[in-house]
Amino acid sequence: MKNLFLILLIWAGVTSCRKKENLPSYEYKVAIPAHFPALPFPENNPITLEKIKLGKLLFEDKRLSKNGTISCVSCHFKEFAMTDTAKVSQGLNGFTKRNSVPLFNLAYHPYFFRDGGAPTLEIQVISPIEDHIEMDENILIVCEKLNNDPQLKKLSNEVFGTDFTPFVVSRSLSTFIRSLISGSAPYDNYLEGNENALSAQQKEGLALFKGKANCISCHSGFDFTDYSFQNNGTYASHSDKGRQIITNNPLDEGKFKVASLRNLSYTFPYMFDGGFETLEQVIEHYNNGGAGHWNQSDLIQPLGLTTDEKEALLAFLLSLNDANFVTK
Amino acid sequence: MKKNIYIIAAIGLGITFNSCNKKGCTDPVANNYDARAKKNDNSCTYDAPLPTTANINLNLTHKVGTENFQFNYSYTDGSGNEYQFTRAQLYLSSPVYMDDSMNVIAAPKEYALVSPNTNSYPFGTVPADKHIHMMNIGVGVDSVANHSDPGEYNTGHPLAYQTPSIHWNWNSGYIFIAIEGVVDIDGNGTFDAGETFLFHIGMDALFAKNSNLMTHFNSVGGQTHNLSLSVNWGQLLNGIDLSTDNSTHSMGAGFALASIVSNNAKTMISVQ
Ligand code: HEC
Ligand code: HEC
Repeated sequence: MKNLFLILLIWAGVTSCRKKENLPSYEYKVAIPAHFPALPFPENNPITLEKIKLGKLLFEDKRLSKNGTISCVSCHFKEFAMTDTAKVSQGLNGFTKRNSVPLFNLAYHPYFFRDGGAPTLEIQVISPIEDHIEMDENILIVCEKLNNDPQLKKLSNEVFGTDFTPFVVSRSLSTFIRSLISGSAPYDNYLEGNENALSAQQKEGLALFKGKANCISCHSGFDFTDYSFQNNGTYASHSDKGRQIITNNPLDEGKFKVASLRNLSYTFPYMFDGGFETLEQVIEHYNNGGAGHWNQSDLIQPLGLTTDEKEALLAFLLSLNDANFVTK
Repeated sequence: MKKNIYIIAAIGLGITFNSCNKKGCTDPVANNYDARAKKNDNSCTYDAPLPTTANINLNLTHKVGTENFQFNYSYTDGSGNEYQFTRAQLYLSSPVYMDDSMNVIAAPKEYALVSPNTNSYPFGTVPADKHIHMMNIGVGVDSVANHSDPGEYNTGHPLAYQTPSIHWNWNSGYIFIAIEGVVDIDGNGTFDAGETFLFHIGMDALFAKNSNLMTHFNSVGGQTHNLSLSVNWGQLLNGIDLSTDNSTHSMGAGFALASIVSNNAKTMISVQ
């Protein structure tokens, strides 16, 4: 009896010791719709609830910018599906070159930015911090500032076992962004078997989307993008060279990553420079066969949609709005 | 019973005192080899094994043409413009060592983030007992490391995030060469506001290999060899008129100017 008690005591000692030393390492299951693929994440950055929470705190923290006036939220608002409503966004030193992008389902993207300049979310999330126009702060100085906050520093140690380093900031911000999933729009409900989730007009729009309007040749899959770089002929000519900036290949001129079409009601204005204010303008653009950039994709052709068809296509696009994502 | 104990004791004594079975170190190459020992008792001692690698240390002299490098000191470019450096940094990497027969001597990848404020940089190892006839060294970062994640390197590693930043945020990759400064564009004898130059050179295609540096030394295990190299920062601006061509981030239209700097960088390192 005495022995058993002793063993128990030793065992308790061992486990309590472990609790202190072992960092939370269990995987957190981010809720995703049944028709989404399993959520990918890098081997060395597993998703934990603690990391998501720390990442969210940093996302909202203005100390990430040089003069403490700008956080990631300044250009990525929840109510606009994590983008803003400006054509180009006001940063710390002027305006961004491009229209801000919504942040959802990014876990599935193979590269980041409209031109694919960042190969991983882990690398991408440091860019806005060090970007001269956006937040203009050095990441090592950000870490110093965060470590001067005893509470936050304690949190970093609880989650990562170290004070803030670029690794901690990068891993928590990227995990937070990876956890942002949008997949509960009426269309998703329809896919899950609810025939009534789409109106007759929206179903007609879906058929056009896949057929006559041929949007699906680029906007395919569960997130309505094949992630390829395409020149969709927004203008006949423009100075932003897009993918060419990264590859130096003239054949990449004016190509941008195909955008997701979810949450369009919240993500206006549209395209790389916010050039289109409304979805009607976008549909008109595609219906006209693009503006005829020399490098425009052959997939962009005059569509000859009737007024009813354009309205049906628009109605379908609106069925991709996920009200849950922008409110919860 | 008692008898048995005596017998065992006797055998024991016999073993201990039997000179034919002397214990000691029986290995002839050991330091304490005992020729009379018949039975090895694990007491042999040896010299520490000879190191199989030699350490390399870069011992750099920073130049602008024939003059020594100084920040905030006036130099003149090929077109007669007076200029001063305010920032100068570059990566040296990818050493390739060759013996007399031009065989490559395998050595680990190395990276040094070099600035004129420092002359001495540890630069990894070479195998011992080789004649290092000559070497190539890169200005820049090889394409694999160039797209790696700076967050994964420990603080202090040349490829970790740095202050000032030397990693691009528009395109994942390192700035291979960062030189910045002021230039008297209008030639009025002062560096007026806005009279600046900035060259940030990077991207895989602009990696600048300096070839065939005659090093001539024999690598000795455990020793540190100082490679005395000269770094000519002025060479980077060869053929560039700073009054007109004074800024590039290597992207877009700036790529052409960056290519000229990268080409110049291929001959900026020489053996002292
Ligand atoms: C000043 C406005 C601004 C701030 C502040 C800002 N962003 Fe952005 N963000 C943008 C713009 C504009 C883009 C699109 C740039 C491009 O594609 O070239 C973007 C793109 C992104 C992307 C790429 C998404 C994709 O589809 O490829 C991610 C991820 C992102 N931002 C995260 C962040 C994080 C994390 C922060 C805070 C550390 C942040 N942003 C701060 C404006 C901003
Ligand atoms: C050749 C490929 C291609 C085809 C076909 C195509 N798109 Fe696009 N689409 C793109 C690309 C690329 C972008 C992103 C452009 C940018 O960033 O400027 C885009 C962007 C959009 C946007 C703006 C999204 C945003 O948040 O800014 C909408 C809306 C859109 N497309 C709708 C459609 C519709 C509707 C169709 C069918 C009529 C269609 N697209 C056909 C390639 C295509």
